[in-house]
Amino acid sequence: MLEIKNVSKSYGTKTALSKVDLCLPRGEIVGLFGENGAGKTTLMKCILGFLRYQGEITLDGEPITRKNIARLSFATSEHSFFPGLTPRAHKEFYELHFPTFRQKRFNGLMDFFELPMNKALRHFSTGQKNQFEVILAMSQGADYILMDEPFAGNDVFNREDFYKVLLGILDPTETLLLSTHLLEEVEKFIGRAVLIRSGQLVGDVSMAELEESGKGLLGYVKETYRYKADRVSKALDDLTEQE
Amino acid sequence: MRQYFSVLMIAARSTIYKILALLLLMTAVETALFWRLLRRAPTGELYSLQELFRVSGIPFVSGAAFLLLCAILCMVGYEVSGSRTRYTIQRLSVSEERATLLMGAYNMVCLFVFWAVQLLAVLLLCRLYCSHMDPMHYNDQSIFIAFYNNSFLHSLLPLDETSRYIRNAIIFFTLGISLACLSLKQRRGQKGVGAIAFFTVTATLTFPQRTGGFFSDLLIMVSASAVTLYYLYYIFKGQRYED
Repeated sequence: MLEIKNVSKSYGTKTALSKVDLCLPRGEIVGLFGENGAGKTTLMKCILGFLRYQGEITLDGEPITRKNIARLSFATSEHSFFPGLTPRAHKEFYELHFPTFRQKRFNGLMDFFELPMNKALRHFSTGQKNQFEVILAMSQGADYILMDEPFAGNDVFNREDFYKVLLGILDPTETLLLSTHLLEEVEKFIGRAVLIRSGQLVGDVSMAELEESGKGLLGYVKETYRYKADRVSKALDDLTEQE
Repeated sequence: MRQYFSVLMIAARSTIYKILALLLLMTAVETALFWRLLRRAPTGELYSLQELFRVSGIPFVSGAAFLLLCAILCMVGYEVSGSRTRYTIQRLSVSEERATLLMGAYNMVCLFVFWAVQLLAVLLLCRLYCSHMDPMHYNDQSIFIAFYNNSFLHSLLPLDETSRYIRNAIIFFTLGISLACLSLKQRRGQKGVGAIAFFTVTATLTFPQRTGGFFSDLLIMVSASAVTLYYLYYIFKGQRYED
């Protein structure tokens, strides 16, 4: 279990995370939602140890260190791979470095997305780079897969393919924490939605609960964020009145 | 051990073909320049072996190739093409500090290989000189005298001048570490290209030294050791700026 207890993070005077508590058990697909700058990426970076923070983050009761960091993998739209190397070189590197590397999954996903094995990644299109980033994270053999806007720049068909593949290949013990703005696309397959706003956790609900209450994910998010549906028409009215 | 090897593999896979191509090109250009003057020998101006090396511009080609080699080596782990390799390097079971030292060690090996190839190339050119020239123009001592009198050749193979061997080893050690620090500085959100470029160019320009320049060798050794100590301190104690 990945436990985040009372985690806070500030950049100078700006608070990015404030006393966040979150628990991620094994085998869940969790959506992490929030507007730009809400703290989603910061939370992921704190979990991975890229940022210093106040509070406690543990993995099965142990702090996350070099001993257990391999149990976490990370895919980001910023891309974490080595652009001068080929997918084959990355595969060899991951095989050497991560004892749990899933070679079969890697090869299968590379074939499925028809990505070339011997072409340097800097020559890939943005969509292909995103695909490869996700393939690496999925194949590392981690128990917790963290994805931060992994499909930014991919077309809708491509994303659709990915969702299907994700659902098909994830083991029951693998946990996926997926940060995205594409609520309507992911609500079909996530099991839980976590909402973050201005660095604070403002919502945490299972999709089963939402289904029971008859609300959609978008409705829940709007309600939690106290989204004013009439703000656009008001703004337009004001603008037209001025003219 | 496998994880350390995997970091070395990343460095090797990123550079090995570029370095091989560079060494081949350097050797080819040097041979062409040497041969261009040597084939004129029967009718044109006659050069002694040491003069031929100086006039042919081989030291200049070697210096340029050395700078290119340094440029290739410092790109290992450097974030280009919008990629954030720090997210992979900081997530390895080998600490970033150790990974930097490993890359530094790899750089030293590459610099040593460069030295060995350059030495082999000039020795073969010496042999070419002896086979091409009339025995009237050279004797058994010609090669020894060339390596004694020519600053470039002498610094490449300092004969019995032990301080020059030590100076070369210290330069390689310092360059290996400082080149590896360039990408580390970038990953830590700092700039440092200027200082490392200055040191690399200075090391290249001061490489050819006359025989018996003990004090200049000592000065270079002391300066290079100070640079090494600074970078070692930076690797283990340097601050990381967070986004």
